[in-house]
Amino acid sequence: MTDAASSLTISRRLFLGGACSLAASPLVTPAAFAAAPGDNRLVVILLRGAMDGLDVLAPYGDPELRALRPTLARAADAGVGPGSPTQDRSLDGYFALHPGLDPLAPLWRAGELTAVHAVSTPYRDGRSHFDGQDVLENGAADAHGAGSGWLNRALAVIPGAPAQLETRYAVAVGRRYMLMLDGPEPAASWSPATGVDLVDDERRLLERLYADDPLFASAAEEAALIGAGAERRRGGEKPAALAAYAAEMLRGESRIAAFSLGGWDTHLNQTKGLRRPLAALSEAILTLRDGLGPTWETTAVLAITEFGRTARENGGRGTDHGSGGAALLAGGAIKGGRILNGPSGAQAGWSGWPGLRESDLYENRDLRPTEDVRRLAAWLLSDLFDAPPGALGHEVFPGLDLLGNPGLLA
Amino acid sequence: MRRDTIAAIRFGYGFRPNETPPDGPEALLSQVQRGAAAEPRFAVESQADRASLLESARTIEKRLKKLDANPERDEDARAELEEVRQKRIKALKTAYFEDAHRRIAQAVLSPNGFYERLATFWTNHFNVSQRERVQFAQIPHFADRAIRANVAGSFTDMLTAAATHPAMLVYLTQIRSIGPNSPVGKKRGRGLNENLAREVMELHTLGVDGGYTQQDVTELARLLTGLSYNKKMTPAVFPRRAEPGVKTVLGRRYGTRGRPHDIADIRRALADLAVEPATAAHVSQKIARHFISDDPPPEAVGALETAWRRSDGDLGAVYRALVEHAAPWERFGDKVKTPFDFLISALRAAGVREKQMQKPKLKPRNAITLGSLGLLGQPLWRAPAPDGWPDLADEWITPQGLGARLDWSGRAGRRLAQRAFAGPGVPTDPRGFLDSALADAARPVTRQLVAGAAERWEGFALVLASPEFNRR
Repeated sequence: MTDAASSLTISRRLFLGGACSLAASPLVTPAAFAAAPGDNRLVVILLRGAMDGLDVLAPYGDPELRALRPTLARAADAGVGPGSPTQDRSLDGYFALHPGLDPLAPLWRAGELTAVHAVSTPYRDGRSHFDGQDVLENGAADAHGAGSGWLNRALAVIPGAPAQLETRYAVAVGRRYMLMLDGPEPAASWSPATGVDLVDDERRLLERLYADDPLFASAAEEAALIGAGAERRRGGEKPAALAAYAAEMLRGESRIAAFSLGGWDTHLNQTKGLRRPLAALSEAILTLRDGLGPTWETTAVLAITEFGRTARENGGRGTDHGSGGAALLAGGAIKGGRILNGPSGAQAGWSGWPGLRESDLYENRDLRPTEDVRRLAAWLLSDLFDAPPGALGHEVFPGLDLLGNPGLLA
Repeated sequence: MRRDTIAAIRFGYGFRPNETPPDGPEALLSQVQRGAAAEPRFAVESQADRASLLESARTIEKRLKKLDANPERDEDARAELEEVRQKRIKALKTAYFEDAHRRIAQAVLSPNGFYERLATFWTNHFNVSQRERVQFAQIPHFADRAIRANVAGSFTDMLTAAATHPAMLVYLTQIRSIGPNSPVGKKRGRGLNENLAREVMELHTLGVDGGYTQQDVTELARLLTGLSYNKKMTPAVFPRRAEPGVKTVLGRRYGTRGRPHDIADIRRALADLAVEPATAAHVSQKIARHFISDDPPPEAVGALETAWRRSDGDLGAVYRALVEHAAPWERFGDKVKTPFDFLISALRAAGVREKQMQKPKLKPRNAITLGSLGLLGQPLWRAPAPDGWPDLADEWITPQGLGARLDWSGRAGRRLAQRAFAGPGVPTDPRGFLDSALADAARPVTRQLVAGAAERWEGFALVLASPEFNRR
């Protein structure tokens, strides 16, 4: 036994939860908790599996919808007709909110919910979830276009974004790896389902154990930092738990949070299949609102998906992989109560609603994307955090044109 | 480093006390043969039982529906029936959790580590996740009959078995894909569902850059219409749902004009996809990534690909090319173990015995075995998407991922120190445990820290938390 090793007093709590001596850690100094610049918050929710925009925001005003989707269009019609058994779900006389999003209707009425239709990334034709999600997360023109995430690179161009991880300025929430926040900039990543609270001695021990292994060393350092005081929460990976944790971080020094919600790949019996993911999305957004309290007023939530689904329903009353989809925006900071890129919501410089006639469809199967979903993200980064448009269109989203900002914030 | 250390850890699930590790390519290849011949611990004897439970639950569901349609139903009779149904479902669930525990026991206790690793690799390549209740009965069956039974055979056989297995047909929503011009399609106005067709090309065979088009996906989907399974859990094409006519996939024609295709047409198309050069390239890359490095040397991938193409996908030939190549023997530590592999190798190092891995001692949520897989981020048979679990270090060694491993190591360390699950032959001293778990793969700094641990359990925990135990 060497002196160095024997002199370590290892806590009984090695790798186990409990109270911790946070202040004594050299990494977590009081200075690190200084308020981050700005009050605005951004939450990005990745809807993995391809959410069907044509069902979630059904264009019931388009006469083609019923022919393309004999079964699926029924739900939209039921919700908007005169004498509708349910509350009127028509948003603007053309689009109807899916019944599964009823819990969000108060947000729409309060002007805290907006949708943008017929959006997508530049990804086309392959219709692979996995490449599609890579493009959605790397912010480039194709799946191999960048090895880091756009939200990570954005940290480099946001004025005043701290260069240290300690401030947890940006945090990816959940166990699932998130390329969107991975990259050279310091972004935290944690799951509320993980409980590990390391005391100083344990941290030093792990520093030595991992000294020659940068991957393990940085993960352990971050685990020690972010896990400090954290207890393992039961059901910590459930949508509400992810949102609650994100809200907790954002109430503190974090300004950007991101997490994923799955279950959108509705090839079969979509009417039933969408219930669970829509309930999860509603719950996540409302949990954010409740958890953020007054901070909700300065928060923008952007929910995006890798692509939309086929305009026609398939043989199993579901839909297959398509192109144009929809993005949802929520939050007190959002200018709500409108559908962008619809027939009445076209902006200067936008192509507008593509229509659903056979000749309108992309490759005679999908809603034609007429707006790049990355532009929404770029405008939010610019308007929330003063990120310079030049850098956004260059380093963050290479080659992206940012002209035509409709002003997404209230 | 000793060759048996590399063979046991890189190609297998690590050392287990009182088990002789393989010492080179021939020993590894004979593990594949022995593994294929051995009866697995799970999902065999009880399958008939699972199918009948399922069938019974279904029959009851139908009777319930009928009852519910009758406004003058006998409520007591209904309640009684519902109770029976719940009992069947519970029995099915219990059986599923038993299978899940056995699946872990199989990997821990099998002396054929390389075979077990390959079975895990292929199960992930043809990922099926539990989504619907019917799969409680199907997934263990799939892992056994579609994958394990074909690990030592040809890729064509494995692809055919996996892509047409009821578990896959349910998971990728194939069972409702109906030819729009078939009798059922015309009558009900139903049509294609291209989910399975796309994933067969993108994930199972050619790869996303494998040169197929949307048209190929649609054509394969047309050829798969009507493919479902019968009461005996055997795949079958139901002709009244199958699209009539010829389908052209990658320039090859299947089926007959004006007539529905049959299952032989589907098997032929799958067999053709199996031997496409793009398939050899795509799957060789995945095998090399799994056993050699996240970014494997192209020349090693090329060796696998050549063996694949020369043998038309004889997997034994591909495994030989892998174990006889220098790269896997030279790059110890390049790969990070997935949570499943971490857990299995830890339970092996701990010498956990068969009795300790059986019901009723283990509850479904047992947090040191099956239940810990969820905490570690890789719940059994529940990958979030059809592409299965990732195979890259960055995606596993995240703060939360490593945090969960530290947490587990701490708990396992305590149990080891209490001899709560350490089997015979497991050293009672952490220094001895380090030697038996890692042999000459243990680094000096780990030796030093383990030797310096203030308490025995901390020493055990450090061994399990070390980079060399989490890598291979």
